[in-house]
Amino acid sequence: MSKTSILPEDWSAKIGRLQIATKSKLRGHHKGSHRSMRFGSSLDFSDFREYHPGDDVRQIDWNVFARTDKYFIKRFLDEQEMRVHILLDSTKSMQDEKKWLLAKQLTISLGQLVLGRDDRLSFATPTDEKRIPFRRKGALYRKAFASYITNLNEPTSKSSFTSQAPQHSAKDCTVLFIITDGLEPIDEWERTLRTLPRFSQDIRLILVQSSDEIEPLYSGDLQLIDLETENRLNVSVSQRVVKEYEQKRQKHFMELDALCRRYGIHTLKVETKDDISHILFHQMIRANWIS
Amino acid sequence: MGFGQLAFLWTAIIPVTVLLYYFFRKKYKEKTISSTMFWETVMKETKVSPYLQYLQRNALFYLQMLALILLVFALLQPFFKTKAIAGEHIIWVVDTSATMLATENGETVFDRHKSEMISLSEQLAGKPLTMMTTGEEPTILLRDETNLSLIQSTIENLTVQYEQEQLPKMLDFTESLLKGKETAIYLFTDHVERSELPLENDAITWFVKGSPEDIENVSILRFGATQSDESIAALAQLSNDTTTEKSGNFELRSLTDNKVLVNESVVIPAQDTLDLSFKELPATSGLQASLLIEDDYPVDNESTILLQQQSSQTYIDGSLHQLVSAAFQSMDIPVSSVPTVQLVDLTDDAIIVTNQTSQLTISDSPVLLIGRNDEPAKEVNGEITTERDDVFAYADMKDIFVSSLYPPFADYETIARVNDEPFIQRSQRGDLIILADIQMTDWPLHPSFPLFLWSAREQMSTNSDYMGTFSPNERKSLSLVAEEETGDWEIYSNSDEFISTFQNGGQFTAPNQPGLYLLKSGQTEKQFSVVLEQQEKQIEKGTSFTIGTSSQGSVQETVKTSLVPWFLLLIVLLLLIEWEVQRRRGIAN
Repeated sequence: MSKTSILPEDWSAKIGRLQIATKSKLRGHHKGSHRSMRFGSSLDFSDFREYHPGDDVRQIDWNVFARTDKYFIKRFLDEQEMRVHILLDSTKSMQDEKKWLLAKQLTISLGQLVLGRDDRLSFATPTDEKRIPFRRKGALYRKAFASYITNLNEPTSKSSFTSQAPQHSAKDCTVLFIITDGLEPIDEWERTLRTLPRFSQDIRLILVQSSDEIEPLYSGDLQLIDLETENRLNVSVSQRVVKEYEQKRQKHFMELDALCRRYGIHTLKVETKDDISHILFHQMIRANWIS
Repeated sequence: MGFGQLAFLWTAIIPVTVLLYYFFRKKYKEKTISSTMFWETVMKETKVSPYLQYLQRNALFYLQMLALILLVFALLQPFFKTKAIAGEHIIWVVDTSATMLATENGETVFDRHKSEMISLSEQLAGKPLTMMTTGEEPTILLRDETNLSLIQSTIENLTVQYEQEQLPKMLDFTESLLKGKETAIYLFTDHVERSELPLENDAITWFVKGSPEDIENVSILRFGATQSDESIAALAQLSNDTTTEKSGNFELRSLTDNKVLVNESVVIPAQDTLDLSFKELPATSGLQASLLIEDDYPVDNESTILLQQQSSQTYIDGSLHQLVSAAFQSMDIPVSSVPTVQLVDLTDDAIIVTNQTSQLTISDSPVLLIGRNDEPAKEVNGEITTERDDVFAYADMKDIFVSSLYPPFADYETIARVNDEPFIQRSQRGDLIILADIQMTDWPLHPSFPLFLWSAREQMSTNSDYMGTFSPNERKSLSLVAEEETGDWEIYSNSDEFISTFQNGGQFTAPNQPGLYLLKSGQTEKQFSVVLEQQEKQIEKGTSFTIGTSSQGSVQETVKTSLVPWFLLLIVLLLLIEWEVQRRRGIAN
């Protein structure tokens, strides 16, 4: 923990009672804290059924046999772990300080929610350097995860996020969080989003947007440099130019929304000007993402 | 092209500064953003024509640069060298005498000079021009004029005045215009000798534009006629200035009925004169002689004469008071004093001033009678009243005191009275009678006395309805009083064309064209004629030449025409465009 926490004080305590809400039935094989649809070995009684040859004799309820002279098997509800994967966009477009901070805060918060419930968390981000992906289960690893994310390098990935996302997604996860800024061409997004549903039934796309992007307050002659492509663009900012920019931008995100709807992906737009607690306690709860 | 102020080259620093400013100017503030995705598409639309956009973006820079560079050029005072008339001060003297009408190849010398003046005026290059015409009274038409269109319209309006050119007068007049600067005097005339020009002033260059062509001229050099009792005798001298013998017709017409009296074919030897005399011509009021020979100068081929006797001499009776002859002399009228006994022997065409009443009957010529020697005078007292008469045109009789008067002549017209008693009378044939001796009145002490004598003499010397002969544009005071109702005199040409009008005799100016004229005021009509001066009947060919200091020897010199105003105009225009660009684009973006 080389850096001080990027989150507010007592953050983990505040979010301790929250958990990820999902309708996804896909669960991990390991025992967890979430009730499974399957019968399992938890302490909660479910029902009895007649013994058929081949059943585990250990599950025969001998008390019932003593009273009825019939073999019944006592079944309990199963408790299973949830597998949550967080995919963080670390292309250069995320280099914006506030955006990157918010993205990391979100990652940590969501990760802590998962870990705090003894669920399995995996985290991946497309980077050029080889880095061991975080894959842990249990509240024990909450701090470790927080420091792992806090110490993430500045995003420097050169290739586009959309092309890298499928490689860094984990299979069969209950919930897949994708934290990105969505600033890539819409057709590339389509290609990526089409493949994502096979990784998870519940995919959640968090679009981090800086205030500058939403409402550019530039003026004068500017040479705009694209962080990713390093495109240089001379723009003499005028009201007309800004208006057109806003129209283009709005159109892009509307198309992205439409795409997500088509592939059953939930989206949530967060802005850098908003506080992390506002996002978590208002936006996400309202969207029924966490409960 | 050259530069007048190369020293101003240092101002080139100014545009260079701006250039450097634009070079080191941070063109665009660099700004890294997450993605230029949306911006890109915005810019694409304005990038349609990259060249145009480049211009748009740098328009201000180019405009400013251009304006500043032009300013530097303007400070260098660029000029174009153009040829222009030499001399700082230019005087054109235009001879408007009748001889300028000599025609060669269908164009008069005057017209040729006019077109030459027009072409010269285009080379003035803004130099001040003074233009004057010759004549009895040299006239300044333009004084230090630089407006080319005014100069040219003045040239177009020049007309021949038929007057003699009066070269010495003109030269004196020109001297008064000199300013000590280098002066070029252009003399547009037909003939001037080098020796006639004053060459003592070094600053003057004379450009004489003569009429070099050989001009054929035959003229009626002299024409006269005398009237005896019933018939007229006429004499004409025809002259041939050419080197060949000329033949043609000579015609005499009567002015009263325009009837041809004489038509004779004449042959005039080369460079010689031919005298013709005619006798026993029928009586007429005037004669017009025409020489019908083709030549280049038609103005002098006609001559008109009015047959009126004109008295020139004035004789004063020696017994009259000295004041009378003194009064005549004060008006520059030559008089001769004659003893009373010799008065009878005097010639016909003379005016006699006497107190001998008998002269009224003896003399054929007009008599001015002052006092009477045949009757005694009787005392009188009162104010003087005058009739409206030409003799009082300049003489105001108001304050004159008359002590006594002689008895009047019964049938004579009274034109002035003292207290209803006749004071001045006029006989039917034009004699004037003052019914008082000089000693009986204080009139000689008044200025009106010599003026009256002058008027009286003028009136008596000429016939009452013939005013005499004038040279073109001649100014002369005539003793004329206009009729009361019209108030002025009008001059008509022989063909009843209105020429001019004047109010009293002092303002009379003869018309410029030779011929017969009519003077009208109400019912009164008087005739007069305008004839060419003798000098104007001879045409000499003259050469064009230049006399002057060597520095101005050439007709033309190079003149620097400044281009600064044009540059300034361009700069102002550029500033306006710059302003418009600023306005459209806004200061910030």
